[in-house]
Amino acid sequence: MDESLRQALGQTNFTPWDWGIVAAYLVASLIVGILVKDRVHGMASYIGAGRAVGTRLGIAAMAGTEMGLITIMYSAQKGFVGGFAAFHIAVASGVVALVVGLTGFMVYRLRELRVLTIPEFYERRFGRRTRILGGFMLAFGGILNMGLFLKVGSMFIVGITGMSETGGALKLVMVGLLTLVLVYTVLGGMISVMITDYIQFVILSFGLLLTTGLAINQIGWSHIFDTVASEMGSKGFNPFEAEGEFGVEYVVWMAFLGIVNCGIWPTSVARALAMESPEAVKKQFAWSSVSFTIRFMIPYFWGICAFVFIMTAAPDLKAVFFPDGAEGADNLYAMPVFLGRILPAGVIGLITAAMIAAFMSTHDSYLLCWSSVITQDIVAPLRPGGLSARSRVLLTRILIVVIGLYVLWWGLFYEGNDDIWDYMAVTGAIYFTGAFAVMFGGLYWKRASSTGAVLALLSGSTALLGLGPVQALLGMSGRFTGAQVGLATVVFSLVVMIAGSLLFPDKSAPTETPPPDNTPA
Amino acid sequence: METWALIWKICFIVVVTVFAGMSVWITIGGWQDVRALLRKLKDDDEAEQE
Repeated sequence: MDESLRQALGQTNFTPWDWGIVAAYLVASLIVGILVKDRVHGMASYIGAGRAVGTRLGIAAMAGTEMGLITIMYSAQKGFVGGFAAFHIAVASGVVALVVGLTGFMVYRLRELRVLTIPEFYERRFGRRTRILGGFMLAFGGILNMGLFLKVGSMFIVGITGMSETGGALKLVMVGLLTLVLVYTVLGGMISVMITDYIQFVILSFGLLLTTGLAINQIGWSHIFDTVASEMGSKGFNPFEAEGEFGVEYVVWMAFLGIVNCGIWPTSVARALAMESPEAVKKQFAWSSVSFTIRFMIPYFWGICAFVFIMTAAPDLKAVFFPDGAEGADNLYAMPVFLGRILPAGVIGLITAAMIAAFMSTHDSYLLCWSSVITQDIVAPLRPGGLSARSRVLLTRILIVVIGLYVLWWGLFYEGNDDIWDYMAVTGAIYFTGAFAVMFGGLYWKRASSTGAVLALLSGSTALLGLGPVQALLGMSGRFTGAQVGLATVVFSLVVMIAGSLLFPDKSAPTETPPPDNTPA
Repeated sequence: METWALIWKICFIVVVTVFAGMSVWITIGGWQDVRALLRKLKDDDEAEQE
């Protein structure tokens, strides 16, 4: 971080009162986690909250999980560089969630089957080897995917509070936040995650709306649109503009990611599987379409506001982010710097608490999700005689801590120069491109076979070709965009699923009715 | 460009308005669901002990 950026980050309105607000929120989260730990009596309650979550709590938990601080940061960056054209991603995400909610596409049938994890469905439909392979790929891609969450989230907090990056503040924030999340997640499992997600939703939704109102009040509604029009032209509004940030393939890729977010990405599917009934799942997704839209749209808007503010009202920041004839500062910092300048003391503490809420609600869900997948879908099926309920809960708790330590280590010591957004998209795609073919085939095609499923899961690895360093290694740099590689991998996995199933059909018919829950309670 | 600007303005206003209303509904209703969840888990505990 260069000196000019450090000075820009240091200009904040954060006061001791704001620290008090943040501290009160953190203590409340911790107390809730400790209070509900006595309610945990088995895996169904530990990772599925006893399948007793009502619709409104389910919506709050879904929003809390999917509105992570890392999403807010990178979405703001997208708005900063892409303008209002980035809004198409939010709209695509919301429309797809609404369609999933109205039709129950994938999630309804999954909930009917009463599975606790996606690989558990693989086993019921395709057998044990598919479950273990699917669990491994899911955990591998997922844990890699969250590797930089802690660091990026902590960077926001250090930046907005005005703490100096030197002197170990970043490391202290990372360790402190991780410890807090680990304590309440390990103790209370999905029950405490659900309840803290609810608290986090309340704080976060209020914070998002308040900040948006203050930003509009500060800059001016018409001025925002006028500046984007004058600085970016039509590419700041039209997502299909060839010379803009996006284009047709990107829009289609984002629509597919909308399906992934609803029906395949395990953390949101875990919310669906914890609901009290399949009908409640449909309501959950239909209403969550609003929060799925908002979680992108508001951060884009903040990024756009930051762009307008920097271009028209903050010449010192313009010199930092858009210096003449030189490379500007990392525009990831634009939104926090902007918020640090416009939010008054008191409000900034509330917003920081809201952002910490976004940070924690994502971390707790991801930690619980990946650890439970390893326990349920890799270790338990591989162990002769299975695992008792007590052993499963204990192992899941240990794995939560282990994954948490990995995230801390990765954040502290990883020095890679990858574009983080590309890194996240590719690591996620390793899992979800193959998983889409397997789940779609498994749920809706009777002839889908276990060999086809295994081959489709493995073919998802070709998504790695979307990563810049891999393209460079193979001498194909710049030839294909991440969106093109992602879409090609989806089509490839579907073709492999169909061809593998037709060429190597299963000898026995697939299970059509949900068997009794085989998870020890 | 004007058409796209108008579309995004309408989208933004509609979505933020709906989200504001939904936030109030979820804040109130979600609390009721939290209480119901804890009550059910407590009942399950008691049934298990019996």
